[in-house]
Amino acid sequence: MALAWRAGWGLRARRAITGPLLVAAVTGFAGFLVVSQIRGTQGFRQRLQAENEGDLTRILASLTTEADSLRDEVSSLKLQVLTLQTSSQRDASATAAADEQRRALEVLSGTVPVTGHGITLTIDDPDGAGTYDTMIDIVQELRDAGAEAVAINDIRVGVASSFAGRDGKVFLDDSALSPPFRVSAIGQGATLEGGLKIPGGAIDSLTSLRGVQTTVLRTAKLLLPALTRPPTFRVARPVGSAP
Amino acid sequence: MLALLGLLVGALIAIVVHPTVSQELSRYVTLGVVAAIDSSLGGMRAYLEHTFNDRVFVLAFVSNAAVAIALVWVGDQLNADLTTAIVVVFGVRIFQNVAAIRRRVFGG
Repeated sequence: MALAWRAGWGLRARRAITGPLLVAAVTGFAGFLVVSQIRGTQGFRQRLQAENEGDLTRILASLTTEADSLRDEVSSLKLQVLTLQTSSQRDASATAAADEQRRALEVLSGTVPVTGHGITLTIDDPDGAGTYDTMIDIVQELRDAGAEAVAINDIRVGVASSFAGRDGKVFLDDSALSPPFRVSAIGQGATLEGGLKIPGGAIDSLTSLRGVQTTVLRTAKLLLPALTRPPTFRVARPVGSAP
Repeated sequence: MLALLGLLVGALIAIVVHPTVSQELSRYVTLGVVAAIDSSLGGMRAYLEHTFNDRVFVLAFVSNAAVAIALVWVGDQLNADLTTAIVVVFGVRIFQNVAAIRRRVFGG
């Protein structure tokens, strides 16, 4: 190729100098391209060939190890997800159980108003013959018969409530009760009534008092208020809690 | 003479500058090189047949390379490998040119 063009130099010399210059520029560009392409290809090949068998084995081994560890991580994370799901379910059921227990305790301790069916015992006592111990007996009988909530004259009887007698009056938690007394109890009506009416029981001892009349009414829906003062504990602390 | 000089100068520049051809551009450069070889052989053949013309040579060189590169680019856009087609076409042309030169030189 070069020989041929050199031979043609004499002919082309007569022409304008631009033509051969252009040809030279174009061929120069071609040379540039050829060399750079060859070098680039060689560089790429050399990079792969530079890694000998041992290196390639090491690279493969490290990649395999990495894949293995990633797979391990995936399974351990899946396990973690499962554990967390189970524990969250357990937490939810524990919360539900605790909630139910709290509601029951609230009803028992009298800190919330309650509604339900039960009985109302009206004690007509115009002469003031009934004393505080009669009330204690009545509440005791009702609780024995399974009363879940008790109130007298719309004052709730709680776990720490007390009866007292002063100046011939009956006090429930420092509130004076005046006749007629209306004792409301939520529970199984028949059982409560039976409990009150057993021979020698509360009603018998009431009616033996002078001028006392009693009426027992079963009510489909009673509404008992909450305690005006919820019980507070100054001394007693649950075991295991912070002092 | 100038053409040979240009070739050598270009090669020298490439060796000195040491350009790096990226993997994506490598295919285009390859096609450019193939087109350049074809054009060079075409130029030689034209010279031997006494029809060599500077402008025709330069134009053929540039347009061949440009069309080849453009076709590969279009093929890439269409997700069709046109490289092989271009290499085949240029290969056939190179063989034809070589055959023509051989006939000129050896009187086949």
